Amino acid sequence: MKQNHIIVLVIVAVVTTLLIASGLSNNDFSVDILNANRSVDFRYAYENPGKEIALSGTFDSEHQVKYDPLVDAGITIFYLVDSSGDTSQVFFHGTEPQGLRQSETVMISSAEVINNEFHAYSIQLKCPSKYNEQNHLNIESE
Amino acid sequence: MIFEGEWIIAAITGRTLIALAFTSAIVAGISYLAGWKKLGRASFITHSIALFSVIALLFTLFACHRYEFQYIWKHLNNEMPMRFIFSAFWGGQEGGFLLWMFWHNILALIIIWKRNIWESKVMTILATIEAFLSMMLLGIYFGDFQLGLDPFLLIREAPENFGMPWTNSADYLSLAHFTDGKGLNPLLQNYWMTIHPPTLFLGFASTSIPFAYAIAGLWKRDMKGWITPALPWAYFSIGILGTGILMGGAWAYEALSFGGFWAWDPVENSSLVPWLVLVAGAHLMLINKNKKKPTAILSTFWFTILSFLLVLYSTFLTKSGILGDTSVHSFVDSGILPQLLAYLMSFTALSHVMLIEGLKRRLYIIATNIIALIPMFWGEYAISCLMFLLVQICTATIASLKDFKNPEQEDSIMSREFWMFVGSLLLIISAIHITLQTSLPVFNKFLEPFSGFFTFLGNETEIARRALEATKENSFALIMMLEDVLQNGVYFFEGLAAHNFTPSSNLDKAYHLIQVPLATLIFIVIGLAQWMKYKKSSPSEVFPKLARAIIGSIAITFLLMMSFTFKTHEYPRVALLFATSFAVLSNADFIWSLLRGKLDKWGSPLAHIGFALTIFGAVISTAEKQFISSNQIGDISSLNSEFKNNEDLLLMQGDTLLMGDYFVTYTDRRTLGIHVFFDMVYFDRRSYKYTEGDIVVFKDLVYQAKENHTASYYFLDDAEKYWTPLPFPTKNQASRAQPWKNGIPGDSLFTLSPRIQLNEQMGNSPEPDTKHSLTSDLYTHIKWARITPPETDEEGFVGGQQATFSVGDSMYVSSTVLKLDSLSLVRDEDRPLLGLLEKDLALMACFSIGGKDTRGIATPLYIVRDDFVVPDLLALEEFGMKMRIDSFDPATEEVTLTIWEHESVRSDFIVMQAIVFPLINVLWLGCILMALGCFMAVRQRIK
Repeated sequence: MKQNHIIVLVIVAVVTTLLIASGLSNNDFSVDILNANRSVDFRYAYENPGKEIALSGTFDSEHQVKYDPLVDAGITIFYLVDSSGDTSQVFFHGTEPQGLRQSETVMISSAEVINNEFHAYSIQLKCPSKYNEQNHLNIESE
Repeated sequence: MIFEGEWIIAAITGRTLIALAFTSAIVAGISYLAGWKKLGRASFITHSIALFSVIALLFTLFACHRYEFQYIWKHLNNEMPMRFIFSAFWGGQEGGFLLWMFWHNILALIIIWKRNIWESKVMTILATIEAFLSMMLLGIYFGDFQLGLDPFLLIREAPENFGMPWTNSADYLSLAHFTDGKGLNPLLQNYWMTIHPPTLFLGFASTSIPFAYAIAGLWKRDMKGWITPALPWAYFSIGILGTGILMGGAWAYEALSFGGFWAWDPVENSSLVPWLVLVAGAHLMLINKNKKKPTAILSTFWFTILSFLLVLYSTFLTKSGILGDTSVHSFVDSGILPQLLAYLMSFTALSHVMLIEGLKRRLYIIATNIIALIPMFWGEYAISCLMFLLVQICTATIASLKDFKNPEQEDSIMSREFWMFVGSLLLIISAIHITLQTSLPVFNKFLEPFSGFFTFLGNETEIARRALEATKENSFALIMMLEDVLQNGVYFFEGLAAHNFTPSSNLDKAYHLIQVPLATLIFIVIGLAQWMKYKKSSPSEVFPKLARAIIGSIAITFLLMMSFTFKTHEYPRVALLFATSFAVLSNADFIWSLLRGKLDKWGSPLAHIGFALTIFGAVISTAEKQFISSNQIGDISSLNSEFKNNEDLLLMQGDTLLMGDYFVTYTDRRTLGIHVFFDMVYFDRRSYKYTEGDIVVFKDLVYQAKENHTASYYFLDDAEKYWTPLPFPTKNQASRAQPWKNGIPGDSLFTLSPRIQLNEQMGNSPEPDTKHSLTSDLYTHIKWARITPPETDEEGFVGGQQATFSVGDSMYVSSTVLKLDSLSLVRDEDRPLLGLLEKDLALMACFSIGGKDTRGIATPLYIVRDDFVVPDLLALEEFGMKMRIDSFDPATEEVTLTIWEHESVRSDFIVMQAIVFPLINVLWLGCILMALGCFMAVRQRIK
């Protein structure tokens, strides 16, 4: 490699760094380059209030989903059972996700505990897939 | 035992054909390897015929609705129209592999037909790939280990039905369960599913051709000869794969409610990465094609090979189920994970072994690879895979130090080659970043065996931190900082030990942070390199020619900054917009100045213009998208502002609300098949005209108009100029005051009908409706609507809503207004009339009610008899309402009521989201130009 090749590469590296640095908004220096959250359970979440976490669990059908668009179209309250078997109320900031009640797994990719309330900001649902269980045929009665 | 009505012969034929395809692929591979060209050709053609027959047979079975085949039962039903047979065919993994093989065979047959000197070696590789792919369809069990998924598996043989009593009854096909299938997920029943998978799979299949040529080149130790025949294939692959990826984006945008065209989902990413790597590889191929002494030849080989390996990796990620919870689209594990892994590892090892020269050294490397695999026997997959990766890295390092150390020609900094090389490197960095992000679930698996070790490290760090904490008295800043670091270390090791990382919710932010700067540099390089000559050009020649493009792109960027507001942290985005404009203008100028009339050579600049326009459109439409449905929620006064949702609009049936530059009315819903359509009429916003003396209320303050004027969009823009505040309005003024409004609905413009698909299998899902126009799209979808009727009591009244009133308060119940006019004690003389006892204490509330067409008065009573409240239910039939006073607070003079509404009078309502995507058509235009450019380049290279 020639010397000016190295100079060019250094310039490229510096410009990249500068651009990346300016992309971080002022209060956001904590953004990880590999923007990963830890998938935890309710116990961890309540023990670490204010920390952004991810969590997945199953919808608790014993409790009603509270969603009344006439009161507030942007908040849904439901109960979730996490991987350790604990149940907690979840305040989801959004409209009631379609298929929440039928879902197999509820994946919350961003949530935090504020004032001992579990607030979820983004949810994905895994619905019963056509690729597994429901293809089991139980037709013994016939 | 004979089962009635089964087309067992089809199953036997199908399986025989698959077995034939598998064996003939192996024979073809061996023959080509041995140099028996004729036998090789014959067996490969046999293989192709067998495979095409398998596909034809399976299609026939689909067309005949043969539900005894579990693949068909799972993906087809009687209701699906014939045109969805194709979608059903590749709706599952078996069909996906068949589609892949179909294209792969067509491409391989073209190679045979072309008969160049590379045929034997290239076909050996392609036949090997075919053998592996055929293996995926064998469906043979060795004990519990399943080799491949048999598309002709009968439903009674499916493992999940094993031991079911009906599998032993001869007439099981007459059971109601088998007269109809499960059907394809309705989400996939659209034309996108018909065109997207074939395009994408052709793209995937085509990456194997440059791969095969690269391996053949290594095999022959001909470092350059393979490039000329491989290059058009590489361009073809770039064009098709790129089209396939963007078609997926178009599908998401048009038919799914992702709210955009790209979501950085693992499935999308894992098809983008091979494309990026192939683009880098193709550019390096181009650099080396005409050179005497090669430059970066190892990278040329390696990138070309890598793009195929990444296609395999992508198949592995999406089909093995390893992505599990991180993607909504990935398939569930179907038991072929070990096989896919074996496939991926075999080709990875093969490619790296080929980098090394000499049989003996290759054998050493093979032996090392085998050693790396030994831990698998103890079930230590993660350790084994890590060791395997390490072996590959070492092999590549050895190759670069020993086998590729020929003195390479140095490129001048003012040459096209140099900048193409820099661009390729940037593409690779971008690909690496995306791969790392996408592979988080894989890293979790890699971390698993080290969990104990990280727990140990975490505990040690915790002990150190505690020790430090104990010395709190000397609280130097340094020690505090160190403690902080240790605390973070504890978290970090805790995370590593728990190996439960998931991608963060804000994927856009995570990806844009790195990808936007990289893309900026890539486009600057694209714009620059086009004007450079190969070998060397002088700065005084190049830079004046770039002047027009630079000035033009600065002007465009300036215009964009004027029309959109960018915040400081968005400057990288502005830089990217500048870079893409520069790339477009520079390439366009290149065509204009040098290639007028030379249409043949337009391929490269056109593809680059297309790529730049695609990214330009993507950046503008994503960054400047506007949620025009925001902040228009009906009554939010009672709500905690923290909970305020600001992207969705609540729309009552019949109401007309302002939304962006439109007025929108939700008119009606209708059900058509499996869809519920919600019709929304959009009206022009006609600015409201105020005349002098008009009195308005804005945010509880009263204003009077100074002069005649037309209202602006925001009141604040008008306030100073046209309005005089009236701090103490007279009674007359107050009664005249109307809420300020900026406009009234004008002409009806268009109707959008976003819909909800009723989908029992996957849950109801919303589908958007979009108003396309040249400069922007209005994209709308339903966030929430009542699909199941609300729960009612026996008389048909819905739920019970509590509200507290004091005199003068009013409230909306659906479209009826209730206003409490007065509260009074019932006079003695009125008691008998109202059926009250003498000792009763009774309070009468007097409400005036305003319905749509009727007005009336309601007088519910609050009765206290012997210290008990006697419930008094008041039915208001003409308003479809009933009410009851629950309590009265004498201190505040407030009454609390419960109000029920009859189902028949309840208004329907929906929650919807509307987004304006500006300039999104630039993106689609870019896609078309890019594909066009690629195919022109293919044509130019074949000529």
